Amino acid sequence: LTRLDFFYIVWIMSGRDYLGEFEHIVLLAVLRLDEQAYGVTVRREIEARTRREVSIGAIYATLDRLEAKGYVQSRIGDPTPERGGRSKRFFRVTTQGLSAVNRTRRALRSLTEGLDLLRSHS
Amino acid sequence: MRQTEPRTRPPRLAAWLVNLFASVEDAESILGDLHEEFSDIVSKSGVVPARRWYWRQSVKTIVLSSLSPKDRVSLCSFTFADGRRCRTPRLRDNSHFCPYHAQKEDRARAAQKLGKDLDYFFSADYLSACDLSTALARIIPAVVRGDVKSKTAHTVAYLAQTLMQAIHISQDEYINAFGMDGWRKSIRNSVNHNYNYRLPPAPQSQQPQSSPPTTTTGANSPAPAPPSSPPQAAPVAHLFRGGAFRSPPAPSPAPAPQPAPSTHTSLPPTSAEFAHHVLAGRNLSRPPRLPRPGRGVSRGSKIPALSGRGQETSAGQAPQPALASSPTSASAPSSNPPQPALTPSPSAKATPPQLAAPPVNSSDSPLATSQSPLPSAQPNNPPPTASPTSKPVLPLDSRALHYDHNYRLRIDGKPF
Repeated sequence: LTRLDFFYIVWIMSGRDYLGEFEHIVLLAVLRLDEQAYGVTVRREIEARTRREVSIGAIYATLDRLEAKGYVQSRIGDPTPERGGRSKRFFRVTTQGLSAVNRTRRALRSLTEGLDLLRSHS
Repeated sequence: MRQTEPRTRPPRLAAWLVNLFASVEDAESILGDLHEEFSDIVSKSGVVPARRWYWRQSVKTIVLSSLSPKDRVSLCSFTFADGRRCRTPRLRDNSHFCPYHAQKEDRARAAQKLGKDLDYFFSADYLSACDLSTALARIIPAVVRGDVKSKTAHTVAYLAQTLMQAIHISQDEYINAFGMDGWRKSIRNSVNHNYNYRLPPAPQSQQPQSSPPTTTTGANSPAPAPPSSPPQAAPVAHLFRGGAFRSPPAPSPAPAPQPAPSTHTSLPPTSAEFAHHVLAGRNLSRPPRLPRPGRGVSRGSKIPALSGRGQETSAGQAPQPALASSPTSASAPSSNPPQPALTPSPSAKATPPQLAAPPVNSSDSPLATSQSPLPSAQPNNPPPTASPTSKPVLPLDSRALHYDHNYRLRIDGKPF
């Protein structure tokens, strides 16, 4: 890391709200699912990609937080019989959310650049 | 088959708990997702793993919902002094509080309303026993209901007791300064104001009875007329609301020349002048002043003194036709004999216009302002909240402070 990188990271982190790890994961899952992103599909997507069991409550708590930040938007779908007559709540990533994802990705890339992760892990 | 079919449905208790703790907007979506996944697991792995999974997910959801402030929308929003928040589910018909805190909020509002009422009843420049009883009539039910804390009730009771003792003295002073008619009018005005305050659609027709009840002194006079009946014939106390100062002066015949001190001089338009005027009246009337009812003097013994005083003051004066022409109660003042020996019945009150009336002896009281004759009791009282006209406060000697308890000075509508 050069001194410039350090100040760049500090500047980025101080000026913007960064995504947490799980927030980042949920946002990426919603991006991948596009129009079919709702609780069940997001949970399954995360479990399938990260092999990590998450609860429905955690998904919704994170999505609510992201919606409060303006990173996602939600809409209520039609009720379906397989859901006991309850409706789905679909989510969509906003441009702000997309910017946050890119910002976080750049920061992570900047932090991991030049690191020999394989050697340090071994 | 009959037993397996209901078991294919999600656990009802778990669903109820999720619905209870999850936020309103999330509950339906979460339950729908749980139901959808539950059906999937049932078809793949059976009912038992599905139910186990459902319970596990429900518990996690409840924990997360109760930990996240955003998800606690359905809980009571009351915050304690130490920053903790009430986690009881809120009432369905209350958007903020649980049943307990909703009840507390209702009580707080009732207490606030009571405080506003009491502030009005005690905002008079001249408090009477009638005002006191009116206020106590509001306090007692509130104390019984628990709207007022017992400690506060004790304090109010003590203050009321103190005020009750001062009312006799203030009554003497008032009668001594303005005569019996002025005092009666003041009482009448006070009762009218209180009545109008409690029942806003003030009945214009109600005219306070002119005939003074032959009861005991104003302080002991019977309680005010029930709210249903207008304050006519207000058998009770007297009050001198600030608003009364502004009531239009009713042309009433000025009182006959009275002895200097207790003459029926016009009441000054401002509180400061009023106090000064009272002081002047006391000073002038000191020599002939009657013995004051002492502390230990019982009411019964005081009454004759008051009546005697009234006779004395009126004896030297003309028959006091003043009240007779009062527009408010045409019959009332007229029936008032020239200060009969009747004990100071609180039926009549000194109306605000009376304050504007010029003193009979203008030379005695330089504060006298207008030349209007003595006003009569006003049926249509001005808004009681009106403040007296702002005038420069006259220098009051230390004795004026003595009147502060009973004659509340008001400058620009604010207590002095």
